[in-house]
Amino acid sequence: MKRYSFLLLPLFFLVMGCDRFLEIKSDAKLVVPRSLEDAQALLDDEPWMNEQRVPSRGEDAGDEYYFSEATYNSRPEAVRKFYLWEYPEYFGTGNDWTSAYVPIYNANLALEILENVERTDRNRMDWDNVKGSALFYRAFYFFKLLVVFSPVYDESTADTDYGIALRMDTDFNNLSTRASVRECYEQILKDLSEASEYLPDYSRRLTRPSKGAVYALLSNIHHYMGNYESSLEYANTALSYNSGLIDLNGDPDLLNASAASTPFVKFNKETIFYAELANNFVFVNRNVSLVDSALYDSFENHDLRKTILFRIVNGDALFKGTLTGANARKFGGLSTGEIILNKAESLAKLNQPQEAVLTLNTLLTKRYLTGSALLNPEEYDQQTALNVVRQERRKELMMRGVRFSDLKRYNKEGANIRVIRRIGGKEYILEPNSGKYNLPLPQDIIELTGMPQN
Amino acid sequence: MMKNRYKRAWMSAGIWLVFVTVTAVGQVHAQEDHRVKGTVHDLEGRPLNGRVTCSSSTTVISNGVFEVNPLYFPDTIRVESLGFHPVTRVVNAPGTVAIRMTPSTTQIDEVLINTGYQTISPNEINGTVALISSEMITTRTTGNILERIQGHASGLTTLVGKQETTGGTGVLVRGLGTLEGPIEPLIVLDGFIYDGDINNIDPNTVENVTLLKDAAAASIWGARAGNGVIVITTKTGRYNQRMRISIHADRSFQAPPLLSEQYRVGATTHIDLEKFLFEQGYFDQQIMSVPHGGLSPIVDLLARQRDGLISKDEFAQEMAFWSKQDARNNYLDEFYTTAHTKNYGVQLDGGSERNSYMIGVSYQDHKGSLYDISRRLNLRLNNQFRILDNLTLSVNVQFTHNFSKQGRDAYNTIRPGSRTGDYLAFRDEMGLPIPLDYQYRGRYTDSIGKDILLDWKHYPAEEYNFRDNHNDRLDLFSTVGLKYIVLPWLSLTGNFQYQNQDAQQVIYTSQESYVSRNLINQYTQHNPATNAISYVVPIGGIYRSSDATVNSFAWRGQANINHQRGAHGIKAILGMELRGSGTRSKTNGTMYGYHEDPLTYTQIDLHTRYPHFITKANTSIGASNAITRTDYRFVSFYGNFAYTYLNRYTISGSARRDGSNLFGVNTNDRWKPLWSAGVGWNISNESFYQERYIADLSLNITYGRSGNLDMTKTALPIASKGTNRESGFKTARVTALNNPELRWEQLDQLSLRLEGRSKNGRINSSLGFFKKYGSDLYGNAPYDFTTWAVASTITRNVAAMEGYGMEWDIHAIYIDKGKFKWSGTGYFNWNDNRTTAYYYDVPSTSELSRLIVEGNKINPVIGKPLYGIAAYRWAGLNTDGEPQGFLNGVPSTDYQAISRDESSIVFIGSATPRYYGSMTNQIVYGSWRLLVGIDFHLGYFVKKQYFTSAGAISGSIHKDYLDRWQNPGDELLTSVPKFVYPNSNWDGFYGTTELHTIPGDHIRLNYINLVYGINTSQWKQPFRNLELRGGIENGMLLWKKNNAGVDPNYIDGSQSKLIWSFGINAQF
Repeated sequence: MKRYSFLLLPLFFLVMGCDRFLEIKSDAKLVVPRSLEDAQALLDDEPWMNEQRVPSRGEDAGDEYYFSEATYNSRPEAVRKFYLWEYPEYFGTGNDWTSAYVPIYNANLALEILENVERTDRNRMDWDNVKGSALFYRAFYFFKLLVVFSPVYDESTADTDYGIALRMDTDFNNLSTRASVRECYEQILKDLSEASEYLPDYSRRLTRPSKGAVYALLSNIHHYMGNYESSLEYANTALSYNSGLIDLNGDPDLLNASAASTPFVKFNKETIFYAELANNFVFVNRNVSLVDSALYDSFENHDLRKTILFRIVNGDALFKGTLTGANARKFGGLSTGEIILNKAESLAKLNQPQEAVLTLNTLLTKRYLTGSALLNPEEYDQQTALNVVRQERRKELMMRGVRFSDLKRYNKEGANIRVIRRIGGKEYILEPNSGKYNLPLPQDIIELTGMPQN
Repeated sequence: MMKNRYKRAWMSAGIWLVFVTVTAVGQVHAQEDHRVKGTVHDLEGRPLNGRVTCSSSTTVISNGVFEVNPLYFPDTIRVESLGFHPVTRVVNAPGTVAIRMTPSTTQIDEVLINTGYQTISPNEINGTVALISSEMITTRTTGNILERIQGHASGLTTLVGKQETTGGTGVLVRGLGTLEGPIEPLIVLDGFIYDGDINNIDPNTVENVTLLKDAAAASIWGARAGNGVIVITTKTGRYNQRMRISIHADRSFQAPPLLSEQYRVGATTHIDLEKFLFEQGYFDQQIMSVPHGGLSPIVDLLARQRDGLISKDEFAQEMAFWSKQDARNNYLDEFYTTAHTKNYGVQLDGGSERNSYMIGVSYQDHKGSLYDISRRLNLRLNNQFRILDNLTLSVNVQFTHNFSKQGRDAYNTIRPGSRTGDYLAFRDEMGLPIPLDYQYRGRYTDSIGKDILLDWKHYPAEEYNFRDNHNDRLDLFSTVGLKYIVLPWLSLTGNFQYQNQDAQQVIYTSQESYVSRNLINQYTQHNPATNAISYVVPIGGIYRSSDATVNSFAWRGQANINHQRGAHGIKAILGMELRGSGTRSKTNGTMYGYHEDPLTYTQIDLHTRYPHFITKANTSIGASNAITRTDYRFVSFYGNFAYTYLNRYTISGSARRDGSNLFGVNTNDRWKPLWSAGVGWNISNESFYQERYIADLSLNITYGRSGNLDMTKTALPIASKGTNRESGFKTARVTALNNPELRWEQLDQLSLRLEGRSKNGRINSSLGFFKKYGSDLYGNAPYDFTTWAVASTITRNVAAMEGYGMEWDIHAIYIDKGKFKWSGTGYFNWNDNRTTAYYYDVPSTSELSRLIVEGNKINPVIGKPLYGIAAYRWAGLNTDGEPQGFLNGVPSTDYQAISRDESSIVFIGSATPRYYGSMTNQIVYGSWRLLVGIDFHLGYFVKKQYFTSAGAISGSIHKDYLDRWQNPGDELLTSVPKFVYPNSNWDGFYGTTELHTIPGDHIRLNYINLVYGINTSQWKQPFRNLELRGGIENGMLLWKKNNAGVDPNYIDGSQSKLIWSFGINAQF
């Protein structure tokens, strides 16, 4: 027996070595994300963090476009229903809710990775960037979700109004709940103030957040909440980082002003933070979503935007002036134009009509044909200044999802704007402050979590 | 770590323990005088010579008489004689035994079963196995090896038209055992797992195929054996045999498919409908669209007429042209041909005392019905050397070269304006190719591109001449085995397997092709001021290629124990195996401006953004290159033993532990133990058994556990790393959500088998019963996907299923008189399965409503078959031509409410056959041999195609359109609802009513084969054997249950035609 025992020796060696044999990765591209570098890489995945992520169906419900009767008839049933604010039930992924919670997952995962990565002198810069960025992304998308799914902030009802799900971890076993609107804003503002301590003044790429982006976002949020003093203050800070504007009379960032395709280059001087509207909306099909003719007519002839932002097909205006460099992708990020308009509107609200109009002129001087007359500040009082600023805001920030938030905000302040659609000789109306301004959540999420539906 | 080390020590100790015990049994000796005398005769009673072995010695049989002196009683003696099947017999006391031996040339079931790890005779295994001999495999002349074994074993079936089998073979052994996991059996070639292309195995080289059906048989193969194992063993040479040369040649033909059976409406109706839609403005957006997208010929014609671009006469002329077309015939004329396959093979085998060899070459040349080409060259080399009396080396090398080339365009793949058209034509009256819009409108590109661009139109009747898309695959499969017989009862084997598969894919379009012209035109830069032109993409062809290499290897060390002592027999193996499989693939970039002869090409700037000629949008050409690298590793320890007492009772067991480098799994979870156990009872060897009618009666019961593992399902969050092309930053993307609770799937199987043979040997039958329990099965469970939001379901071990079935096979010789012999084989299977647990977080208003599906994918609903179909009850059309269902028992068109009313839905049944099987009849008359194979599939339902308004609007108009409701009163005559534009809200409902689920039951004539063996005995050399054969294959429908005129295997009506084949086999 002993004679043959050596034959078993190879077996022993193999037994000892097989754990190492099994250590090799099954797919060379895979990694369990654990390092600081992985966390940054998660946040640099632009298709998941910036591209087509910002909830956009508010645009579908809003008043920036309309369908011709024939277009309406040729749309699928779900689109036709939605067009008339009979929101159909929807399920699964590929909607506003899921588009925005993808970057939130990445942000949460990055923050969880940081918990196990020590901040040292050597990695301080990178560590801080990941921390600040993750907080910023999360706050940005929380805010954009609130615009579409929750009522506008109202001090008196903020504790009871349904906000969104404040997902702060990556464990799907913790069921989502709807926080109150107040909790949502508190969390967002807290995240942003923390983020401002970590982020660099300027980022290496516009898809990454920066201090300037934090202040711009803070201005937008306070503006939407109706805190015009804070909006003004943050707008000024944000503009101190970046106040560039594309001169429509001629600018390196302006290409093909007359072409059918989009006129602006991607990552232009107006972009503070780059993000795109989610592709869940219908007007991305730019051949059918016609621009409201009254809105188009409100552009004066010396306003270069009238030719650069639009093209005319069969007498109808179609929008082509998005800041993404590709018409099929609509801009949904932060831009200097919006911050200047925040500032102007806040000044008007705070009863400084002259300053408001002067601020507006800084924008218009880049929009009008050189030599055209600008607005005369002397001619404006608070109400007329507010009116002209809001009109310019509507014209400047088309098809970015901003108009929907403005409709909600104006109506909250009593503007009483009714959105009207005419189909088959009938009028359909979206009443001010209607519950239809808060879009429904995916039905399966409601059933899975027990969260209340809008 | 401590735990691991402990486990390892435990295992090593185990190996020793078995080893020592087994050895010790052999060491016991006792010496007494026990004389046993015997006589040995053949069936005619003639005495034989040979040798006999018992526990004490081996002695010679001389003139049919022997005498041995066993060490103990009971003992087993083994009698061998050249040219006869060996016989073993248990002797209980001194005395005499009479032995009759059967010549080994006679076909009896003394065949050996190869499990891949060991070769044993059928009565030494408790598991359920089936053996398919090479004779059965070469009965068929077409198809790959898996297609050829269909109908030649019970428990074997092929799924037709299911999602789960896409890209696979569709072969199932004993039905299903999982919901989400892999469903196909493991393929083993010459003892090793075969991951290559099944088409690379030349069926003519296969010696036999063994099917390991139950857990006891399959569990030796471990984690991937849950669905059964198909063991393919190729032919080898034999020792002491003079050289034989065999050749075969055959040809087969198949007419193009019967497209005319497709359920289409024809040109005029199609044109009328497009006209109607055009008038409704349905195409206006497409016509106006900025990139001037392609239009269907009719829409383009109507648009030109509307815009006044065409005279009345021209319009009428063109319309008349399209109206008299039939796209089905035009497709057949232009793109289809008779398929033609040629097979040739030469094989050489023989052997001396110390060496045996086999050399084979075979070649297949196939032209498909779409002019697609595939060629396969197979070289085989097999050598066995008896280096020492107790040391054997075997080397087996198989080389395959496979070439395949894409053919012409299949029916309905040419879609101008994204529409299919029943009026499509590819050549005009003069026989010249007609341009059909593809991406852009031909007349627009003509107008803007005049004198600037290459012709931008798409000519389907020429396009196929200008592309060369082919695959070239080299496959080397080799094994080296060393067998060392240490002691008469102990041998050690070491085996090594290496496989290398190199594949190259080429996609080439010449300059004349639309694909090349399109890209060149898109990026042509034109300066209107100077009329200067520059090409970003140079004029010429476009050539891209990619390479993929698969390398796999395995090492196996194994100890084989085969000991017979007295009444006790033990047969065991113990071994360990390392296996690895690595894939490397890369794309080789694209060559532009490519010309074959003289070879010229250039590379271009892929990253700069250039304006598109039509849209002016700036885009980069950007064909990015990719490299992938995957490596799968497995380590396994396994053991298997069978203990037999008195040749009557067998206890067997097997255990195996598999480890893998599953990514994202903690090391401890990488191991999975599997086991099986069984008992067997050879009833006819009992002394009380009266062999009145049935001989060789045996009963086996086994139980075992195997697993399933899907390499893509993981427990930790796994990110895929990459680089953003624009930013150059590293990126990471979580591709699988972490689920730490994820475990392997588990499959338990209980199996029972009764086997017997009539005393006269004419009938041979076995009856099997099995029950499968799948637990911890993967299931797509919904979760709060707010968390991750990338997918709305997550894989969890949430499901369970059970399957049960019966198998009965019978082999009978009906008549055997002189030159005439008629024999038959039948396989009958019953297989049911149902989901026993599944996890739904979303409560549904009706469980049955989950089954309102097409039946083409596994759809788990508790208590229902895995492939189940339910449908809405049909209440006829109402007086407005709208389809009605039942709402609370009353006909209704409130489809929303109907969908919530459980009573409106009826469960139809299984979408896979519950009863299936085959019957083969063989009639031999002199030199003629006729084989007829019939198979049947019963007890299931399929869904036929139907008409919907939405389908018709988007361009695919089902024939039922012609029978639709048009006027009040039609509802009494038809069940096809009216056509509505823009949208009907009943398409979804109507498509899921019971109207469209029809019985799938059918019987099919699988093949008929006629063989004529020329009697060469009167000839002088060299023919030893010469056979001519001819036959038909590919199923003629003999009977179907449904009266909708639908062949259940060809739902779309495109029944494929018979394959005619002719061949010759010769041996000399």
